[in-house]
Amino acid sequence: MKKYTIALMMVFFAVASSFQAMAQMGKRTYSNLGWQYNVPIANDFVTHASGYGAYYQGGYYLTPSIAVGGFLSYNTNNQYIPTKTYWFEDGSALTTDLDHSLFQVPFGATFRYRFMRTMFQPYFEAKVGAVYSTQSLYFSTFMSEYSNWGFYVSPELGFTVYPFYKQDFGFHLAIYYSYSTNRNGDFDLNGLNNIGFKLGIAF
Amino acid sequence: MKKFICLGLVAMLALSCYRQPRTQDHDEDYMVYTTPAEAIDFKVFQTYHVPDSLLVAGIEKDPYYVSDKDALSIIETFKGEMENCGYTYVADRSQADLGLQLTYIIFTQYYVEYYDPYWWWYGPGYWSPAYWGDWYGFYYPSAMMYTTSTNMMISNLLDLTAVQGENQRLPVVWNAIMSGPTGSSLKQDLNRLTESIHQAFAQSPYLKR
Repeated sequence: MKKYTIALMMVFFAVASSFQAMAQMGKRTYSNLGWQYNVPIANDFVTHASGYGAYYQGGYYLTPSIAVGGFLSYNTNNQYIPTKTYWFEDGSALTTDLDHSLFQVPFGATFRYRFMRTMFQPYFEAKVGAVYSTQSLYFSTFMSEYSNWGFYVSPELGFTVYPFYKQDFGFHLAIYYSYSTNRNGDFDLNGLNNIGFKLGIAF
Repeated sequence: MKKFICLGLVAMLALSCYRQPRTQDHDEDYMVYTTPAEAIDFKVFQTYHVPDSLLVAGIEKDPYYVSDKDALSIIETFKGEMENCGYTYVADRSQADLGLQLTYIIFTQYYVEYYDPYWWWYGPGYWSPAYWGDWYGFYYPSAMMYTTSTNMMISNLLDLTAVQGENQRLPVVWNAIMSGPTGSSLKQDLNRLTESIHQAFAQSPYLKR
């Protein structure tokens, strides 16, 4: 029985080692690049989902599990508002249909914890940084735009898969939530909340 | 080094890939904006006068007046709405309490592009590449110019009872602006303009006597 147990353990470690060998054994850096699908939530300005976005994030593993790095992403979310009349305090009124447009460019630092260092690498990541955002109204042939900066935080859960033998190329999938402190009194925006997912490549 | 190149590329993408809304999906009605003068009581006015011509700006070098069938149609629409509000038209402007002046403006903007704007692929009234065969879009090998035009009707109600004199200014007591991109035909633009005039009065209930 003892022999079988030892043999089983040897097989297990051999398989585990082979996974490690396949998955960036000597590489301490990582990069993820791809498409981002974003949904602004909890605001009255734009709540339509949109895939007009992309991301890049990369970092360096200080230990086999913990990495630090940076990120940059962007998203545009547009929402059509059918024709209605807006009444203002001074008695003026505006009748039009319009588009609300929200553009966000967050960037900053990342802290990643990798649960497994195998071909399949799930991770948790925390992002902190700044976000530049514009909020625009398009109506008739006019456009009015406001821009602001905010502090940004975002937890992210995802994984990378390196399916190719001894290759640093793989795939990346993640879901995230983000909050930033951008404010715009004209649109009653008191912070920007988003959820979404990312689909891309890892290298 | 490769990382910095990737980061730079994504930074450039982020700053250049803002996706504007497809404003050609908007309905074809004109935007209507109205605003009254502060603390004005329209019940003190009884009569009004409107000239029998429109001032047209933006087409020729200098503005000019038009009294053709289309201009008169627009003026009649305004007169109908003024009378619905309880005002009486007078032909002698010196006897009127209110003056209504109407200005029609066309803005034309010119653009030069080195590629076909994405919205041309779907824009109403433009040729589709599918008409010629199985093509996705047009390829323009050199710079091309295109224009967009905007209609705007500005109507002002003027308080003709105000004190006149060399240093006196004529008060504008109501403004209405109707604006939108030019349509595919003059008839369509006139219909949209007529609807927008009705809307301008509908959203100005304080004009009722």
